[in-house]
Amino acid sequence: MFSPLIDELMHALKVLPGVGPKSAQRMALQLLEHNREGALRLADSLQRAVEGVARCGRCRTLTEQPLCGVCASERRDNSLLCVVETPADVLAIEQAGSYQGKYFVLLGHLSPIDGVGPEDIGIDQLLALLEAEPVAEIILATNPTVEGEATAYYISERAKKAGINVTRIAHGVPLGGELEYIDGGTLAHAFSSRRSL
Amino acid sequence: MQRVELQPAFVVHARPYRDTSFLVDFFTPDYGRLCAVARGARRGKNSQRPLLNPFIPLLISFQGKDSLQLLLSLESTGHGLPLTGNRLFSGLYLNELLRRVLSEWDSCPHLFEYYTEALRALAGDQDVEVVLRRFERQLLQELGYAIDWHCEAHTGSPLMADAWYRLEPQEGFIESAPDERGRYYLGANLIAIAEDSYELAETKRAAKHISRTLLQPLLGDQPLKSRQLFL
Ligand SMILES: [Zn+2]
Repeated sequence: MFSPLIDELMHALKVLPGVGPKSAQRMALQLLEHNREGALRLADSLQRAVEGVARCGRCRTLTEQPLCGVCASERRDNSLLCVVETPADVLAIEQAGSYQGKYFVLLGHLSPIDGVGPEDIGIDQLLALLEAEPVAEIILATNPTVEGEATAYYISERAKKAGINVTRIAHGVPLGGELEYIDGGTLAHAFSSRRSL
Repeated sequence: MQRVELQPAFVVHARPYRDTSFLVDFFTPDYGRLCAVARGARRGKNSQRPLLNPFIPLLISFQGKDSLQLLLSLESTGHGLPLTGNRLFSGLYLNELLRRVLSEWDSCPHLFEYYTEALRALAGDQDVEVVLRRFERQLLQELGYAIDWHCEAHTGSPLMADAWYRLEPQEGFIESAPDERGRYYLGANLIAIAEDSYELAETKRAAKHISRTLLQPLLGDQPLKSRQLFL
């Protein structure tokens, strides 16, 4: 129905999360009809980001520098290391704004059925980092899923062997949440990780 | 197009599918292993999401044709079985085993019961190794790979506590004098395994080795990944 170049653009736009054929068509026509300047900026920016952005050499998050901003910062506390599953988790914790330590990004979690074992989530790199830096406490912030728990336990055992204090972030009743609307799994988790007051 | 209502189930595995869904591997008594799409379950506050984890007893309704089903509803029938540490790894091992050796749409009500019992035992305080060995034996039996744990394969006479045996996966235990090359099992250990009594460390070692030998043809060249997790 459309000419080959437009078809190609619509097809390409479908790589974006949440974009199906209808949205892709709307986006393509919008860019071509009303915002050619923006479209050029988008093309240029995509090109440069894909070519420039790689993994931080220390924590494995996304960055175009050899070390990401957090790893390079002198103001961050070197003795705290927060282990997360994805770069998006780093962002979420950074936006909350109260954590002053550093990170390590696993880029996944242990999932035997998917063929993901310890070597696939950078455990060797993590252990090397623990040896090279004065880390006093590891904070495990993997997701409260079965795989996230398995990953947390695996890392905690390896880190304890290296003589490092290990903690797990609490998961449970959300602030402002009402008990009766919370699912059983979350509630059970909240009970098992209760603390004394 | 068939519609199945309120079938007991456990999640074996769930992985992200498209933008907002999960592709979920369920284990059920009447339909065996089956794959269903949990549509929209990855959206922010989806109520299905916390239940799409292994080790939670569920009731599921689904419909579809052939291999891919659409999950219509799910509810939990009790609390998830709280597995931690090595017990959690053991649960993941059971799931990997199911995924690897169980074909889809193969009804297996007994195995479902054995699996449920194994998870309960892992959530309790039973010896992990004993739970795993028992389940492996039940699994092999349900899949038609059982061997005779009571009689010698060639002569049919009962296993003797002080005799030595080697294992032929297709046949069973054959009495033979041990030499350096093969692996031999003392009759007393085989008798103990058959009775599910694992007091001796050497009984556990023998049971583990026998399980691996018998599972090998079903697993092929690719080793089970979850075995790497045990520290
Ligand atoms: Zn970094």
